[in-house]
Amino acid sequence: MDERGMLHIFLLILVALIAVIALPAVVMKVFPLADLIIRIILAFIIFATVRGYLGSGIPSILVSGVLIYFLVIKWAYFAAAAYVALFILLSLQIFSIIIFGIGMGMRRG
Amino acid sequence: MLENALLQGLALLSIGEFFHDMFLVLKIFVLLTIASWVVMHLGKGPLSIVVIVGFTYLMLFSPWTWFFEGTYVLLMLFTLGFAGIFIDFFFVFPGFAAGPGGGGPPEAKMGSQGGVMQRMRLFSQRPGGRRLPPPM
Repeated sequence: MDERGMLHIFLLILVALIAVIALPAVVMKVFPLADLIIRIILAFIIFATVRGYLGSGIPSILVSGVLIYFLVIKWAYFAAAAYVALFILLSLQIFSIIIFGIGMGMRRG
Repeated sequence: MLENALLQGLALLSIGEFFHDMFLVLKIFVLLTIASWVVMHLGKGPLSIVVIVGFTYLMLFSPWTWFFEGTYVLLMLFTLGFAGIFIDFFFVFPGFAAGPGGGGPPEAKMGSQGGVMQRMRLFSQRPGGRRLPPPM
């Protein structure tokens, strides 16, 4: 495979990954109910994560409040996209499946 | 009219504010990691509070903040399997794209599982080569 072909494939993979990452933000924009549900899920995840670090108590609530303000209220679209990209796609190796699928689709014979 | 729309668009984007907020969130996550690590090793006591304050200054307010925050981001990414993407793209993908042992250059044949098995079989048929088990 020459360098030009690799560049095209790289661009194809990049576009596919960006499309998958941007999907939750698009869904949140199109469906208001999905927006609400994803925000609730994000808030629960943030609180559970902080409680895992600090235990149950006032500091957990304070830190969770700050994080929920920034990640759920102010930058919800980015947080949803980052959550899907990092914790679902990356930890479940979905990126590998996408790259594998594109490679199989462009197979020579 | 157009100028107002442009200004509103820029205000909506607000890249600087976004990065400022995300760095603050990153600092909070680093602080959580420090606090959790110290409490896990030292328990809840005055010594752990002193150590948490010291580490917090070193990792969040010293001139080396960028290093610790970048290390934290890299640690999280590699913990989640970020390196697997590079392995798939640079090592696995060329083999799949080359096809099963044909069409591509020799280095691409080595990339696919079929090409590797073919070469291993040829190697085993040489004098002194180890016999491979039959294919399943």
